[in-house]
Amino acid sequence: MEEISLYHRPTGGWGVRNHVLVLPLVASASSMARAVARGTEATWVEHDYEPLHDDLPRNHERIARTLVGFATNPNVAAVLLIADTGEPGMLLEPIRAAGQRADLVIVAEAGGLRGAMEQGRDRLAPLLSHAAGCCREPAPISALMLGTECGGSDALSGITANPALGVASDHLVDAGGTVILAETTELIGAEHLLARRAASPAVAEEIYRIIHRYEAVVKAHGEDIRGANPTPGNIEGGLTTIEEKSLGAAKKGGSRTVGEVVEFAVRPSTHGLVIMDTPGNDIEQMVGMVAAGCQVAVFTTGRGTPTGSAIAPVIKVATNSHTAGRMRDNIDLNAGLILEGTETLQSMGRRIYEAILAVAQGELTKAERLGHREFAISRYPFGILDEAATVR
Amino acid sequence: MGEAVPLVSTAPGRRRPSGAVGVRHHFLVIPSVICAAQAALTIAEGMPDAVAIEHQHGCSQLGGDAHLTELVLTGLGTHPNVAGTLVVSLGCETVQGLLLHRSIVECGQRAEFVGIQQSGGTGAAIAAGREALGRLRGAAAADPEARVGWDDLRIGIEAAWLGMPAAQARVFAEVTDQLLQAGATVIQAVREGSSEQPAGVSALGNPNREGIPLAYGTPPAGRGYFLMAAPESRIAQKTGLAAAGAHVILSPFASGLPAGCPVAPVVHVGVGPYARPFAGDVDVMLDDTPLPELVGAVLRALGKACGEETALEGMGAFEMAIHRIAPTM
Repeated sequence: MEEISLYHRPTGGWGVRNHVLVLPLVASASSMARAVARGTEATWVEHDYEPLHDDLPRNHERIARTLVGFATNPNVAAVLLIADTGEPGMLLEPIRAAGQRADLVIVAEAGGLRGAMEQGRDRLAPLLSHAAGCCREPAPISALMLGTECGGSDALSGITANPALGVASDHLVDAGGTVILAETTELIGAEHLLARRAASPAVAEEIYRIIHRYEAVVKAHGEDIRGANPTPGNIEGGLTTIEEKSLGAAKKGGSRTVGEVVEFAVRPSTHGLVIMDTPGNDIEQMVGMVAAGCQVAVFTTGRGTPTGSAIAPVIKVATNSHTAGRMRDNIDLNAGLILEGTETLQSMGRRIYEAILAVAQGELTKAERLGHREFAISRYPFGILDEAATVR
Repeated sequence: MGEAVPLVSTAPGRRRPSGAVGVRHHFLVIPSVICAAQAALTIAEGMPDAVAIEHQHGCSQLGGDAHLTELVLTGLGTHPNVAGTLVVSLGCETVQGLLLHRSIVECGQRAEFVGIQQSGGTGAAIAAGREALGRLRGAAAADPEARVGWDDLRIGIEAAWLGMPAAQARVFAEVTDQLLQAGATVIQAVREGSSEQPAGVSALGNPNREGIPLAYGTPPAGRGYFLMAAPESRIAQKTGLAAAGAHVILSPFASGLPAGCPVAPVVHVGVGPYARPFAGDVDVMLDDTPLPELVGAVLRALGKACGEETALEGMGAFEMAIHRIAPTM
């Protein structure tokens, strides 16, 4: 069996990077996270989620799951949590229970902002030295969990980059790895094709359920999904309807059996191809997949989307040579070569697969070089449906 | 009534082409979508007068929610404390950067636009953005210095004091009255769906003593006393008050953490016992001092923030959240 070189974590996972993460647990701790991490080897994220009095329990649970999952991703050697008060700080417990090396600063208990800043630096230091002592070791390819994503799609997304990524996904599934296909709003219209590949009738039913649920929630808000998707840029890029976008988007996952459907930011229980229920929003989707344990992602783009992740390498694949040439700073691979006849779907798929293995073993992506670390908290979107169900 | 209202800081502000006076001379870099945030941050990096905002909106939002984001970003981009605005767009997003730029220009603000996809990638966009900031800075040098009086100012007040015990609430009610008497416009955030209203504000001499209702993030059409509908999130309240044009924001601080705002200085008034550990971070601490002195201290802190950088601004600490009315798809 082919082996690659990864970081083995006490959580049981295998990391492709060795980050120390400073993670704010509430929005108002974001500045502190930045102040503590800036100028050190650590990375950080910022977000705008504040717990509210009328928070739905399902919202609270989804966000806690996202934060815990992100903090325990195997690419993270250690995490420093920043909380305003003791209550959000309670997430330290499940993060440590998962085996992750973690510490916490509660700003209100650290003597104000200046005190918290000092305490943060003090607590970060041992986490950084812990990470410095971690080494790569031989690991099976089956340890990899790949996130697939498309953003800034155009008319070629479904013809070049997405099916080529599908070929790479098949290679990884065949090697025993895991591939996540997500962005439910962009599977609308392709559900029957995916359901046909479901491992069981129950999985097929789940596929229909999550897609119909997104359609229903958009309608319940009195809006039309077509108002938000395809986006103005998609339309300019030649996409006409959400169905057309979806038929292309679904190809990213390849052609293997859909083994499981998981909720947002939930770790799959099986290897192979898995569908995750996420919004189509690029950043929220990426965070959901990384929080579920994806160590590496491939992101196809027609128009040229620069985003990445603070803790996971994101490989950018252009759907056309024009974008690949114009946005050289941002694009790692050009699937537009398929149209030019110098590559085939198969050969391009192989190249994407090889890039995944190279990046997993340390090769930096363009998004990493540019310092991209976008992060956003996805709120539980189905509250309005739950309410309607209760009234009924 | 207590002592006479203290003067606003003697430090001069700058008069904008619109006629409004600003108490800061910021150059604001606004990403129209989160995908452009990294480029926006890099453009502003190392430029002490440039502020980049980092927000999580701008794509895959439903109609009404996307519109609200546009409204708030336009409000921030046309704020009188902002001498010039650069919109950084990706190119394929829902909140279209070009339209955002246009609506900022239509409000009379000097503004520039850079598109990442249009420029040909992040590197090119950063270079173009830095040049655009240079042009804005050159043009804004013409904004003349101006003396700042209370009647030039809009003061935004967060909702946290509504519902506080009477002894503490009185301080904020009195501050509001004195500001109104001195001719300032006061925008009071009031939580949507909450019964807590600003009690004890007499708003004497104001045509509408009850306060004129104002939608979230919307600049008031005239002067006087306004009640702005706001969400519970204190950060989203600050953003809404700033988008409504508040020059300075008064934050009654009794939960969470002190937080700044990208375009307007925030004056924190600590309310114990929660705020005690933050004594070094707040501008005024509410304690057993007699009422008139506390009111004077808050007014002086507001005036001072007009002329001097606050401690939070010095740390480069500000947060950003825009009220959401629908989940992101």
